[in-house]
Amino acid sequence: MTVLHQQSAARRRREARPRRMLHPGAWWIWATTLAAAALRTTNPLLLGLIVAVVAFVVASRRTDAPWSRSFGSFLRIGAFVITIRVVFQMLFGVRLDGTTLFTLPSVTLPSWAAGVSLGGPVTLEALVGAAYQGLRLAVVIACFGAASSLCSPYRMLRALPSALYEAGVAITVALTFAPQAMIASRQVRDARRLRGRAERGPRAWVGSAMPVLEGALERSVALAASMDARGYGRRGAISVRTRRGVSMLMLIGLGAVAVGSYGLLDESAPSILRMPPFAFGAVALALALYLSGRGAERTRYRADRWLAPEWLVSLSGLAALGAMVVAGRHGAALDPSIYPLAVPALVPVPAIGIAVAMLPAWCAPRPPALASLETITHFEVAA
Amino acid sequence: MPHTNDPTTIAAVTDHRRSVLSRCRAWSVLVGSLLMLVASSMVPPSASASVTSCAAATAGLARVVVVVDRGEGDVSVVCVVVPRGSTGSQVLAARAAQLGAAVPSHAGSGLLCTIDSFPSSGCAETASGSYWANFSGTTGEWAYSNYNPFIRRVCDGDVEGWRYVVHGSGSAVDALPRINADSVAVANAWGCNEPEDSRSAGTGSDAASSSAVGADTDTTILPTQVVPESENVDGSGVVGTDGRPSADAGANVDGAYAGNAVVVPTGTVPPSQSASTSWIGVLSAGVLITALGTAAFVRSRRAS
Amino acid sequence: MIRFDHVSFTYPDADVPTLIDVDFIVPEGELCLVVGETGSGKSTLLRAVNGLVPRFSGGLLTGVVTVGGRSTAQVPPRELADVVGMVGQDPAAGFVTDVVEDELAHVMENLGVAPDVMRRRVEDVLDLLGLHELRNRPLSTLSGGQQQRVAIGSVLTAGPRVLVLDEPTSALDPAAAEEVLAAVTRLVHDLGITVLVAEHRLERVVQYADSVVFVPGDGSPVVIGDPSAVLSGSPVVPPVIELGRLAGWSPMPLSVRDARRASAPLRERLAPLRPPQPAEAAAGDLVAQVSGLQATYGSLTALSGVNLEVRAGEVVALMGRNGAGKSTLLNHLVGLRAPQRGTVRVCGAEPHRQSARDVIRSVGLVPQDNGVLLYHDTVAAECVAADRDGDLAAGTTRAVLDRLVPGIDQRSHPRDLSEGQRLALALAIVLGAEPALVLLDEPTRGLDYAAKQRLIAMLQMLASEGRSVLLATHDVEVVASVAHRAIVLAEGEVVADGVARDVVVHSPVFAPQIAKVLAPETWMNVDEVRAALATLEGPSQ
Repeated sequence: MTVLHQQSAARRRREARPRRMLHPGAWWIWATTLAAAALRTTNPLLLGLIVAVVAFVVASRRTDAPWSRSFGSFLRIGAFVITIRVVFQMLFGVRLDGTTLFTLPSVTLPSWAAGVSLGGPVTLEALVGAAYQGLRLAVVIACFGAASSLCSPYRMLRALPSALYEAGVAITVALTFAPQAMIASRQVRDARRLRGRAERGPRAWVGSAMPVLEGALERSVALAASMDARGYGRRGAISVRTRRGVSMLMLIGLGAVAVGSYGLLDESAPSILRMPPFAFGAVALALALYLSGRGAERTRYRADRWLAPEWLVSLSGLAALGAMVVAGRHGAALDPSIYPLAVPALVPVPAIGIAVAMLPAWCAPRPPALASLETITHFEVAA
Repeated sequence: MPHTNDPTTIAAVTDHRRSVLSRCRAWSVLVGSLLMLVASSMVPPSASASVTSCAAATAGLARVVVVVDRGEGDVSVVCVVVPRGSTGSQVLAARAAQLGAAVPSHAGSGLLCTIDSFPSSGCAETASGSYWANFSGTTGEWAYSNYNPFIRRVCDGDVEGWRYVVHGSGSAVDALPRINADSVAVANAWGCNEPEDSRSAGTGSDAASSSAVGADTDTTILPTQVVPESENVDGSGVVGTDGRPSADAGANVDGAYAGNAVVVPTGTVPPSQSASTSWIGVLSAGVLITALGTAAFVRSRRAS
Repeated sequence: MIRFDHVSFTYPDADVPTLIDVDFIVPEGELCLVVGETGSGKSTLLRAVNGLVPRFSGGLLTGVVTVGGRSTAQVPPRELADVVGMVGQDPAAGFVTDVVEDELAHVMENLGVAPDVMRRRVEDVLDLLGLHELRNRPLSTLSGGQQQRVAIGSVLTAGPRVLVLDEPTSALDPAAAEEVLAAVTRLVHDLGITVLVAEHRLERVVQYADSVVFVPGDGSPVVIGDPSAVLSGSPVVPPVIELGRLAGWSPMPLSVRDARRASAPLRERLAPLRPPQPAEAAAGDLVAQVSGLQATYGSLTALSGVNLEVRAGEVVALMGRNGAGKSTLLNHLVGLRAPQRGTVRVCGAEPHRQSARDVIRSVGLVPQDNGVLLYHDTVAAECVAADRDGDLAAGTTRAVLDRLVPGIDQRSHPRDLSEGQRLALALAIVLGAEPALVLLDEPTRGLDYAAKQRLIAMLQMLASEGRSVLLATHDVEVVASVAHRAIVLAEGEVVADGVARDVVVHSPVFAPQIAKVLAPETWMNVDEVRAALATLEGPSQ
């Protein structure tokens, strides 16, 4: 009995301590590295594992806030993407030999459009290949969905480097559009029911797309206006000349980085267009960030701290990506053969890496819940 | 749920999987063989769509010269015999089977990745513009093919060119195979001079049936040629005399060069792995994914 | 402090300017009330103060707006954050963070206030606005009044010299509105902050105003001046002023207190007369029945054991604080939510089990933000779509709309309609399917007095046709005019259910201004008094 009491007392103490939220950056690093890992494979087993791990972590560490319930919608969007990819493959896809499932009426295109095919025999191989690619994209979407349901977009906005405030409105709209669209879509769904329309099916999708997008954009812009009115992206005492200089520097830096990264990706580009512009752009951006960061006087009320859990969460994501890259270098079957159709193999190294990415389900701090927040308030008042 | 540990948890997961594996092995073999059965019983592709003039419906065989140029080392010239109306990719598969080389592999989109396991990596490097360009040399000149090899059908006497292009543009300006198409025609005359289908034509439409031809091993004898790099500058010199591949061409190719013709049955694919081991991976992953998914679902339900 | 110098503004794609040659000055430390009919450009005017118009709205602004010596043409809104605090119509739409305390600190973080100063100011504002209990609450769990106070607090921490409030109390129940206005007047009196506020519920604000800006909206010049002087010539006036005009008082009273002092002779004249007795609702058939209804959101209880009956031909007002569960109850009645415990029956069926097509024939809801019901380009298209949705004869919805509000241009975009017209359109869409029960959630939000009168007429027409109406509202004047019965919800329970007049008049919070002025007699609105006086004068003439 006494032991039990002590335990429950300890637990109560632990739960009464204000819970903190994980640094948004850690969640985003975790999610983007998992997405990057997903992009390196079309192996449905590994992709499925990534989705399962992401879903598990989201279920374990999401908050009660409205945007946290959006993960399911991201999964649905993913399923939609797979369907679209498969249907497009049937209609316009490259025709593959193999097991013909059925034949669609085909259109013979003139020779200048050779290489594009419409209709024709649909093979199992072609559909499987399309499904793999669709799945990969769906997994990437799920990873970003996870990030936006695990930390609110607003906290992400706060964590951005101040130089990016220059593009304040655009960034606010970009980061808050998806969660706002979720809220808007719920509203539109209700409104459809009130008008007596079919709530499900493709017609509902088509009919509500515009109102949802419009509603979400309006909300995002309203938020951007509110943020601007409250000084978001303010430059304070910085002089007009410096501001212009910083803007120019950022513009040049971004341009150079764009040229450089294009050069790095396109191996046929002359070497002068590869590393030099990239390095120059990076330096220019860093300088712009430094200058504007120095100009913008910003302070933090309660800064998000970067502690051990943050390291663990971001490293676990990196582990998944690292395992995937290493396995790919060593010729593991990250892209299972479509033609001939082969059974995908569960490649051990990336699978273990992905399993490591499940760590945040335990090592990330539990977010505060609505109910517990009230108890915290009372506790603090009492103390 | 354990709140502490990391390595232990993973270990637990792995152990779990192993035990599940052993239990599911019997099932996996059963399900695997069932699926294989279903897959193999499915209808072979219809040859209705055709983009070249020789209709697929014509019975008989087609001799096709396949030129494969990696852009480095030697150029491989192989003559294969396939049922008339086979697709370009079937010709490549037939060539691989004849040489005993690895089957050409394709990316999920259907893009041809490797011929004779070359390049060893980098099918995903399409962004850099490296790819296997396809040419037709039938007229004596290389003509860039815009057609998908899965739908382009071959005729008797066709010359197929494959050139690995590094940083290409994906259009007709990309590098040609490094031997002239007309010199290939000479090789064609030298290697495939017997009209094979005159005999089999008598048998009618079943000549197209792969099994019939495959069994008929004495009908086609197809020497293969390798053009050494040093000799390929001028089209007239052409064909290497020794017929031996250089070291560059790879061991698997080497062994097959003296081989007889094999016509690969259409639409069938040699299994690359043993069925039971590969399905174990799928099953274990399936179990893991389902377990995690269910756990996630239960957790989110409990939370809300 | 705020100076509009010959300002005109035209929205992009608009033919006529919204503001024409607006020219006025608001001195420091004044509470200035902006009045005008809906669509007259009040919000535009307010948003021009810190440059959100035209920087976020687009459009062409001529003239100069100067705040605290800085011109909005030269600096973007963010650079004015330390001078102007702007709170929009929907405070929740402008929340940036997740928790009250962070929301209060946000603006200071942007201004670069030192951390220790930040902590102190957050405490000050928490105390000033009575938000102390809420400091760790997620913003999404706050009620409307709390959200409004947090929104005001979130700009106040920057220590602005000007506070701009757009409709700060229109979504609030009377008690919450009092809270907010008390906080605002405290700011004006104690801190000398200049406040510019737009509000439809003039009766709530006008007594605190030092000056009034009247935006006519028809192109004639903006009038600024002393409240009673400006309002005596304005078409938009609160009930006390209307009563004052009727009784011929001078100077115009602005508050219940002033009016009560001036009203002694009027009360004497009215003494022999009895206020009209509440109309007996025809005891029709039972249309809707709710019994033992419970609803929770996570750990929050929205409804606990609600029992309710609505009969045919009855207009029932559903009242109660923000967050008392009114909207939740309406959502259950229309089947958007399934009851967790208890039953909801409308016309004998459980709405959440019915298909959308069947539901609209028995019950229809016009939601608080009625714009969400409308998503076509023109009024005509909305009507056609509504006919199609409900399998109605072509032209049904259009006919209903013409009966409610004649003369709406069929080609206009629903967004361009005035609040009142848009409400009528949404109501017409719902009424097309001839539901037995019509639910309205806060229909008076954003309506001016004239539009409210039209709404009252519409509701009376519905009741006379034998339809039942359930109306969730804070607007006691509307309740007093139209409702047969009033139900008050508190903490998810029904605390009062009875004849509207009795429920409303005997509550110090809910009682309408006229009832307060003419207490103890239960006169509810100016029309009743006017009618009574007419009978009095009739025979004598």
